[in-house]
Amino acid sequence: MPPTARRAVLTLHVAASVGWAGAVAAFLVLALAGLASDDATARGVYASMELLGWWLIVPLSLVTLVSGHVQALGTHWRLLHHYWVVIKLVITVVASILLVVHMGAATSVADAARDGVSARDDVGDLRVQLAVDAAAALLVLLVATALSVVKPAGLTRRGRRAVARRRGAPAT
Amino acid sequence: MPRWVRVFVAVAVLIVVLLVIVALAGGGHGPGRHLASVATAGPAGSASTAR
Repeated sequence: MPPTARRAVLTLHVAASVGWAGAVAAFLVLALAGLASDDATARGVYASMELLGWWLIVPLSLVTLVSGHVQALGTHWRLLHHYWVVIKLVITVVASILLVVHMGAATSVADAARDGVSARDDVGDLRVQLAVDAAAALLVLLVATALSVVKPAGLTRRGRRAVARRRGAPAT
Repeated sequence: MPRWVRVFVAVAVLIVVLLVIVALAGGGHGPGRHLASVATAGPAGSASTAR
């Protein structure tokens, strides 16, 4: 990948992934506020969370996933040569899938909040779950960010074979 | 495999096992809990209900 394109994709990837974590942090704050809100406030809080989730968090997760793949495949890091890249890939894929699945809970709570959450005991667990999910997601995304910054050493078997091929010697 | 990867994988497996135990113990949590909502919701639905 040409240097200019590589820098552009890297910038997009960093912006999207850090933005994803930031949006999840905002989602967590709203989820906690929603637990302690009256009906009128909760209506606005959960409607905001639904919008934030579908229109910012989900798109940012997809941009992170795609730009991460492009960045890995278009540079010397590759997708399956370094453990930290593989683990980040797994984290991003699993987090994206869980995010889309769990956004259903945000939609359910937002729908219930329009009727008044105090009258809907059936969504009490879902409201708590939204906060727990957001906290867990934020933790996982911070781990992924730390992996990107630290880039801990460790080649996978495929990575060791690639290095050996470049050096013209058999992999050990 | 580096030691940090082993530790990382062990912690991840432990968390998954704990989540499975909680789900099997009657937490009532699972993907199916949200699928009906996901099937009927999305960006379009969100926008139309944002009032």
